[in-house]
Amino acid sequence: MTGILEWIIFLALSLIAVVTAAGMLLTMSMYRTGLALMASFVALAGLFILLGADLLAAIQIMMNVGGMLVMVLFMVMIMRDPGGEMMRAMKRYMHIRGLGAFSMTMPRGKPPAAAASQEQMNMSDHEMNMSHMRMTPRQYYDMMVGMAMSTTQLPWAIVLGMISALLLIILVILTPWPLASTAPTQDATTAVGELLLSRYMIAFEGAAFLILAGIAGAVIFAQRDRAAVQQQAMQHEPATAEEQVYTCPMHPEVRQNQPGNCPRCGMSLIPVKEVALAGNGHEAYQEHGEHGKHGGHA
Amino acid sequence: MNGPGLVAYLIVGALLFGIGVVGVLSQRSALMVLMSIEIMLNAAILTLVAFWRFVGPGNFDAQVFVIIIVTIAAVEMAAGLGLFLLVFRQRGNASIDALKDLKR
Repeated sequence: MTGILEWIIFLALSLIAVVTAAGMLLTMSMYRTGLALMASFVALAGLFILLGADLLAAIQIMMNVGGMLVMVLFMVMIMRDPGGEMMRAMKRYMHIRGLGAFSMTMPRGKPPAAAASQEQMNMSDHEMNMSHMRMTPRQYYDMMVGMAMSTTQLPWAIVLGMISALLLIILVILTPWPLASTAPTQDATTAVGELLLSRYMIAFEGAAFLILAGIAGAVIFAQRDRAAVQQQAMQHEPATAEEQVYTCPMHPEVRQNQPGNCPRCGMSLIPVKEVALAGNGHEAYQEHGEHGKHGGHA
Repeated sequence: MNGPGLVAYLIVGALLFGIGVVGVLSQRSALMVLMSIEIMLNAAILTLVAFWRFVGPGNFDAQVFVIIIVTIAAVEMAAGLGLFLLVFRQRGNASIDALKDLKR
């Protein structure tokens, strides 16, 4: 009876762990990615409890789930499109079918032609007013792939992932494991605590030093260089007309000192600073709120 | 009827590892690659705990090993995030492919 109950709990938890881990790769929203990963970790902690390793379950929740929570907050704070709404609107607008984030990597369907541009005329929304109505299928494809969460290597990645999982499963089933019939007798927390402070003292202290090094490293990485901050402050002062460089949104190699039309395609040139902001993929970070608003209509 | 045995847990670990492999190889954003690495580490932890329970339940070395792995994963995450935050600031995106030009 307990065996059947254990199977039910095991299947439910492992289903959650595997499905949320796969869902992490499928969603278009970075925020949901973090939540899915947290759910996977919690289900894994449940499996640890089922295995009798309650100390490790507690550590899993505290370290991994807590860390992922910080990461989710981090993403909500600084990412431009943490909820994936821009991507979803794009997908709906371009009439792309397919599964979540994968549909953006391998876009099916035709690029929006005359009908779509008619629709676009009525749109006052700046974000949608990007100049993709005169696109060849190739350009359209490149644009979608450039925005997608996964690269074009995705089919190969899936094949390799399946192969590695299948290989592992076959090995697991074929290997004659030397199973022990006894259940753990000692209290795990006591035993692990004693081991950590006796036989594994050096490893324990090493881990402590590693954490210290990690904290120091992260702080040094995240800290701004004082000289760089000053330089950036100089850059953000309003540029005078002669030092502002203009470029074409379609031909980044075109650069000139005054505004005008691009010699190649005739589009009006835009200041270089806005190109950098407008050209980013959906994961672009937004450091200065006032620039983000101009990002779309370059 | 007995509960799930070693092989059942190891299969779950293998599936999680495969998903992590797909993520590491396919994702564009460095953040997503870091998260996929986390999934692979968790698959390894699950197999370790399963081995502890079914092969050597009297020997708690495996649990110590898991604690060390979790610690290293946390440090790796912090250092990786710091590094990629730096890349974001410099270049405006954290696409793994954009880092190719570091080789030049």
